[in-house]
Amino acid sequence: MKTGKKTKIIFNLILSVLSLIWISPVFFVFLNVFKTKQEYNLGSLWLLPKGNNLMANLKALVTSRVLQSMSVTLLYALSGAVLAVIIAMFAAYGLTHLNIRHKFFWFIMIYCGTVFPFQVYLIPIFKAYQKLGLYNTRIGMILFYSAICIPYSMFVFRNFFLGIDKELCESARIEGASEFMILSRIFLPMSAAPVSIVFLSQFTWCWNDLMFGLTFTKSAQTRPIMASLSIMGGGNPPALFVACIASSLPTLILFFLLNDKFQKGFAYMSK
Amino acid sequence: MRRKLLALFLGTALLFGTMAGCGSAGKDGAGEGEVLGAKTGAVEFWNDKLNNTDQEAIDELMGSISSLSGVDVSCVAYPDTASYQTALQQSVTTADAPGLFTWWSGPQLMTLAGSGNLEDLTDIWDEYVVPNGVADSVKESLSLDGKVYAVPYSIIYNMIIYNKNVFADNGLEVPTTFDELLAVCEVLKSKGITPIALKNDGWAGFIWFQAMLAAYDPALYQGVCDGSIAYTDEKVVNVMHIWQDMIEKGYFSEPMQISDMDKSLANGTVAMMLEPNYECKTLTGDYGMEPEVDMSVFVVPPMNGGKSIIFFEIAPLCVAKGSDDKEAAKEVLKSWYTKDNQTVFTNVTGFLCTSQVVSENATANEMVRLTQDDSKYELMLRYYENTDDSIRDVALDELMKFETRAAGADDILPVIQQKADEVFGN
Amino acid sequence: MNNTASAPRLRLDNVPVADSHIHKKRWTVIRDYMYIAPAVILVAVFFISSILYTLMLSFNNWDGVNKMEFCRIDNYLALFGDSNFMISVGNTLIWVVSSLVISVLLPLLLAIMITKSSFAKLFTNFFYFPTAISATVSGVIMATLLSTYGIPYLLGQLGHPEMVKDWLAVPYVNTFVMILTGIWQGIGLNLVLYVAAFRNVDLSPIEAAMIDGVGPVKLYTKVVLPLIRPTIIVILLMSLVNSFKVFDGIWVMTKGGPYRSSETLALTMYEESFIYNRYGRGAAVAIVLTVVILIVSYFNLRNTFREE
Repeated sequence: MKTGKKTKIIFNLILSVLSLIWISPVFFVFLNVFKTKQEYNLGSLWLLPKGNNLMANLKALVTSRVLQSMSVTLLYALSGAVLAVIIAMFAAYGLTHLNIRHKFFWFIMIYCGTVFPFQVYLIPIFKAYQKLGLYNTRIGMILFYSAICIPYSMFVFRNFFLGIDKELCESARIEGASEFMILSRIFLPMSAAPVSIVFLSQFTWCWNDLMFGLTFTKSAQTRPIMASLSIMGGGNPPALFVACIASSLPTLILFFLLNDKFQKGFAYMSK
Repeated sequence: MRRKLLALFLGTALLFGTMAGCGSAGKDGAGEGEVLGAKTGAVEFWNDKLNNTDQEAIDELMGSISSLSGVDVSCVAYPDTASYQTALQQSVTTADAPGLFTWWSGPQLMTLAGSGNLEDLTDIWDEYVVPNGVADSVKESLSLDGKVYAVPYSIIYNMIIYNKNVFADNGLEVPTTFDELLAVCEVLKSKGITPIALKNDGWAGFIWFQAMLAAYDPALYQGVCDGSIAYTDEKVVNVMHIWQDMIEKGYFSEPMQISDMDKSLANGTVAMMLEPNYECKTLTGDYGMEPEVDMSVFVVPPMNGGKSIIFFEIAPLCVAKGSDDKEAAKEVLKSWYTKDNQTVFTNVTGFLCTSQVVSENATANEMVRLTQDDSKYELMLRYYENTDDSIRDVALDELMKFETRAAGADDILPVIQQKADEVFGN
Repeated sequence: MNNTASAPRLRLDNVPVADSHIHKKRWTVIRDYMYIAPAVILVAVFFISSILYTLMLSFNNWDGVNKMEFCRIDNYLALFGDSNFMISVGNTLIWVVSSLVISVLLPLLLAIMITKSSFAKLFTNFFYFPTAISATVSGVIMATLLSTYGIPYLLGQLGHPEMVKDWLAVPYVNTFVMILTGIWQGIGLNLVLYVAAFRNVDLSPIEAAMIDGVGPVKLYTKVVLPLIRPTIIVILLMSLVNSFKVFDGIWVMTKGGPYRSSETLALTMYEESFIYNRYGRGAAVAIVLTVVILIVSYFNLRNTFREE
């Protein structure tokens, strides 16, 4: 698509202004991470920091459990998102290109998982986990996170797979390809963009979850990062801001890593 | 492509491997505690109270009680109410229940005690709690059918904390009658200073309501709480109109966050706030107010003479009856109120529970000193736990409407009374 | 399978032919269902069982510890007689309508501009940034910014002293302030989905339309948007579901206050259950909310299945 030069300049301008607004709260955070607790509390939030207290605030981060819980959270978020992507992809393929009766029913059944208010899961799953010995275990957390990521992932994949021509599958089937081969060797390579978006969003969701992480675990070895972060609370805002930035780094890094994939088109589209 | 797929599956397999490994690692972690516990006992202390506390301070607190009691106490903090309620309520009936945990007083404590899941702590109360300087008078709010089911994690007193410099600069003295308080407000208002800060929190509507009722007549407050006096009673209406008048004259700020209240008090744009004693620690530590130099306290003075009322609240600390760690937990409680442990506890949390310990904060000490002067002051349980909770929930919403100027006294009192009629069956 | 990973065409001639037709057919049917089985089983075990438990709870009175008492539909009757519940329904509708309009349209417009701008990647990064931080974290940042000494203070310095107050404490204004922060945080993912959709769209119909001399507005409404319809449906429905269930940001910023004026259904459910320990009532709210979302989703989704 061609765009006029004028339109392009206008778009650039609008986007520049808007994106400045979008990241301005981040400036505010950076303005305040160098301050001490009292300087922050007493002075104007909008003044430049007087000294540099960043190192002390970083130290507070190290002594808190935030860093420790990062590795276990990484395990939860990675495994949860990877498992969900794989399981959801199979389901989406089944719901779009295989002979399954009552597809709408099965679709709604999986989709349900996003519809219910999440708080209703707390009591029944807690009870079940306690009975089964999954309470306060890493396996329990990974299972839960994979399950909760499936519905959204399935929904995105399904709607993406709908756009892939059925004839493509038919011709492959005539050539004798198994369904698994079609999924893994035709669909998967075409799905770089949705796979990376779904993976990123579900990883971010697991990483940022507080309520379930807090309820289904109790020991320092199993508790995820947001639990540690929210214990810090508002007691020391500059240190909290440092912790906020540190805890957001993995999701941001992942985003930058996957960014290219979002932009990638797929070549097979028109057979 | 197949190679990629293979990598994916290998990755997944690896992941499951790690999971299995981690599962056992997690169990090993828990096991370590048990090994320690085999010799000396171990107990978990679940709470939702140690949020906003540095990890170092929590470790110090756990270290203190562990070494004093010989039981390894570990802290499990819950910074989210739903998580805490779920984890505790659903495990309290099982052997996995925590030995020690904090809860909320009033109906929530009574529900738990009534369900038979709490250990009777009457013996500990008599032998280890009261002798260590905890006021025996608070026992009533922790008891059911004559048995004590909890000990106080914290006892909190509410008083007016004021900025001494603002008072001095404007030639103001601490008021001893309600009229003097009004005069102080008028002077401050005319100087462009907001006299009193109101708190913006869902539950905070009752703070000045109870203070006004009790300043008018303590018996009126008790009567309203137990249902013998209606919210639409002439006296209550009268009190509410005095309060409304003060709000209309600009003596109260609009409701604000606690951090803004602290900041405003420290920078002198607000002169007074009716807050609990632990706030003194925050005001000194985080907002630089020197105790008894920059700030001090007084009790809301009475309108018609007589004693002033100081309101208190208690956070209960309980032992789960079914817990495997029950005995260890009771052992911990024997050392909980010792002077050594309470000294650390007070420094970390700002709470003062026993008369053996003084706070590092002179204003906090002043507050405790006032509570002990029973010639002038009388302690009463605050409104939140002192009345039926379904009336309370309605009243809190209505009082917040009143404080935000969205409704007047004559609008809200009949609404609260309607609920009270339902509950008390008039 | 031999190693043909780099070959451009599939070579699958070595797949064995099944001996028995019937046997093969039955196996195919089972195999097809195997594709959806893991997802269905996990969702059923974790979530559908939970909602059934909640449904059962909604017909009982329960304080969380003692025995449940069966109370028929009392919890539902009590809800519809409760003025707070009605306020909560109203607020939820405000959230739903505004997020339908804004979180679906704004990222679409931004995505269109971004695909045509000079620094597509950079702009996407900026807009995505708040999405990467958690609701807990951004709630803390936003609550600070919106409190008396944050943005209101700045506006006061600029000559608007009447603005200097805690915006989150002003009833009904706070809902709109929170919707704005929700948009600030929430559009990143939708934006990325749109951008990816535009990048992956089949260009030939668009080129054809352009050769026919179709104007830019018509080009989008008639040609481009229908092409990315599957993505729009995902975004529309997920925004709908999430706005019905909106909880995190409100809980961190106002807790539904002052006097429950900014409460939404998810908050009412939470408060009834976990603050007041009336689990039956909370469950009833959850069931009402679920039924509403399911009905709305059903009508939106049914069409897409019919077309197939």
